[in-house]
Amino acid sequence: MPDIIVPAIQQAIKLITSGDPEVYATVYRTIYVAGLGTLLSCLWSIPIAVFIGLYNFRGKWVIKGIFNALIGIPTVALGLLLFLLWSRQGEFGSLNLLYTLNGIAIGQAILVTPIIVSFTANALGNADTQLRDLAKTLGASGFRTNLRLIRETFWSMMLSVTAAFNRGFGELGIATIVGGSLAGETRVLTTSIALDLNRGFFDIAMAYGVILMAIVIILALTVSLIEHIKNEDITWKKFSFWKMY
Amino acid sequence: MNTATKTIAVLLIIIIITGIGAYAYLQSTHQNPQTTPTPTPTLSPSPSPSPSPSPSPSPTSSPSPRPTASPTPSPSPTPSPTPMPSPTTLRVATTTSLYDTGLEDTPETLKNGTVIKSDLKDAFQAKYPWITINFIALGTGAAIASAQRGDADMLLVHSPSQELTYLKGGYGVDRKIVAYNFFIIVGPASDPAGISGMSNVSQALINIYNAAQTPGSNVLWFSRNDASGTNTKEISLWQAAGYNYTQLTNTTLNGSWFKSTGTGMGATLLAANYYGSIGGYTLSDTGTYLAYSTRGDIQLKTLIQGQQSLLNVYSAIIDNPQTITGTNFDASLLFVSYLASSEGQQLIGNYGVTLYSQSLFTPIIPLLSGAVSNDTLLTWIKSYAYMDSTPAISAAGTECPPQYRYNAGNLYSITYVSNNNAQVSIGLPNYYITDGQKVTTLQTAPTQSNSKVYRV
Repeated sequence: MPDIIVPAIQQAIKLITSGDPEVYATVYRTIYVAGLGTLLSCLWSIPIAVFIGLYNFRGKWVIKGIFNALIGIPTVALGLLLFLLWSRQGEFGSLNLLYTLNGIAIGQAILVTPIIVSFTANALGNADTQLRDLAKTLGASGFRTNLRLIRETFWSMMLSVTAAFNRGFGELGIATIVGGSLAGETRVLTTSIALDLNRGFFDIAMAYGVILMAIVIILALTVSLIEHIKNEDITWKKFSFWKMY
Repeated sequence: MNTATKTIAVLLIIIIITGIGAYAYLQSTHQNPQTTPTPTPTLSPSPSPSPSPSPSPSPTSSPSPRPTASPTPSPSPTPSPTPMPSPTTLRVATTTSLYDTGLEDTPETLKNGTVIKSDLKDAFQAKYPWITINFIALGTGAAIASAQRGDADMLLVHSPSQELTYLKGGYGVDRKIVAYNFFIIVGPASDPAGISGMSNVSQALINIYNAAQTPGSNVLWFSRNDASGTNTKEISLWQAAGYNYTQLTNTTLNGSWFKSTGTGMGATLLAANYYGSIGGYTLSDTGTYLAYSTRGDIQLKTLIQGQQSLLNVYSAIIDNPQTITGTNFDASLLFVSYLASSEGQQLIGNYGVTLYSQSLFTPIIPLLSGAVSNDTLLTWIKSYAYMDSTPAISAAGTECPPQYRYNAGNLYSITYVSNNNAQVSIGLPNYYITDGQKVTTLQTAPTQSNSKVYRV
């Protein structure tokens, strides 16, 4: 195992420091599609999650169950469905979304919708009902109550958004089928790994994998650190530990 | 709804889904039972239709695996069943282009549902039931790397230059050419670069290059750029036309008319078909193109075919048991011998006729052993795929230089024998231009009829 990981890390450092514009472009494209996909998805997922999380209605358990199930939708199946819809003979072929980055982004937005909906709805559902009643008695309207509750569960929502971003960042099916992995246009990190695997350059493929994981870890740690600072209100000078001595 | 109703509803859904799944599973195993290798042969009480499993359309399937010895009703040399060797697995690393045609393990399924077991896996496993053969489909580069590591026991690829490197490195032995066909250059029906029907492939590529440079043109070229056999051929074509392939792939230098997909042949064909308003040109192997075209998945037309530089030769190489440990040499040799045998060659030649009305591959043994004569084609094949003992590609050599032969037995003296007196003619590869017309493809006058009959 170490003789696979260590050369991969070395190769990854070599790739990054080589200054090859294609490597940077690939990383940028991956961040672009995953980021745009997540942002787009938030636009419609958060309202759906609020509705599911905060309101009771008949068949709520069915809807929740379906969204929970769709978290695990296979990316190739979704990619194939979108390919058929967006091809020239498909219903939405005139949108010209095939083999474009925006097409991948929209595909990933659809992919991560269940993740954001399920986790956020769950967090909202578990939010303190007393807080809700309190807000109502203090005169807040329905909308402002919901806003207040969303603020309370903000970090759970950030968790779901991070999870959604990671899912989009590391998925292969949609990027390959919808994007086509065209060099210089729609090639992202995951399709680069698949390509180098196919070519037999396993060390470069592992290096791209290391780069992918490194970015994901850095972003997740950053979000976690911000949450930590916000919640515990740590200022850099406030080390009571040192004050002891 | 109260909790009890909800629980019952969920359970019902689960039961229904499981039921559908089980029903589908039972239906599929009832139609095509796997011929699992068993340590002891079972004598089927009913006489089997024929001792040799020739690809005949038989929708009914026998429930028990066929023994290699004939059953008792017909006269057999051995009065008691010979014990079958212990079950073993054979892994063949192959390229995605070859695998996607279906020759290796996809039976031809007609629209009415009848399944014709005309693929290599079914036929070989029917003949040698103790061997389970698995095909690992990767790009040629990855397939060769996989075999080199011993993850596969043998190679079935179509890239003579890479095969030569493999032999030279001492990783492979007993190379055997098994089939050939031609690559084709396909493109949009509107053909903006005007290359349709050209016989000079280099000139056609120059035309495409020049047409792509003119501002406002919609000429695009799609390349796999994945070190596959098809890609190796494409690189050699661009080189023959006077271009440096690496420079071509550099989009900052060249502009974006040269698209590298990095994916398999099918995905590249789809990209060449669906990209932009009219798509673009690409080099494709026959099988994948026909498969996608007859299904209507792509509307690209065959523009150039049958030229010497487009020759595509498929070979098998066995992993060298002296340098790569843990590989299955005996089963590999058996499979390569099967591919080169009359039965295997007929199967290769017949594959695809049912689905595409033409064969996807042309067996090579009839040509090499002189059963059929076509000197031009033979010269082309030798110049492209024969190797001498230097080792180097040389028409004066053989399919496998002597220093790379190991325990080959009579592998290199196999000649072609037809089953009965049926007419055996080598078809010149016939390809459909998608308006349905079959055309001959070789430039020189054909010495054989244009039929491609192998059925006996």
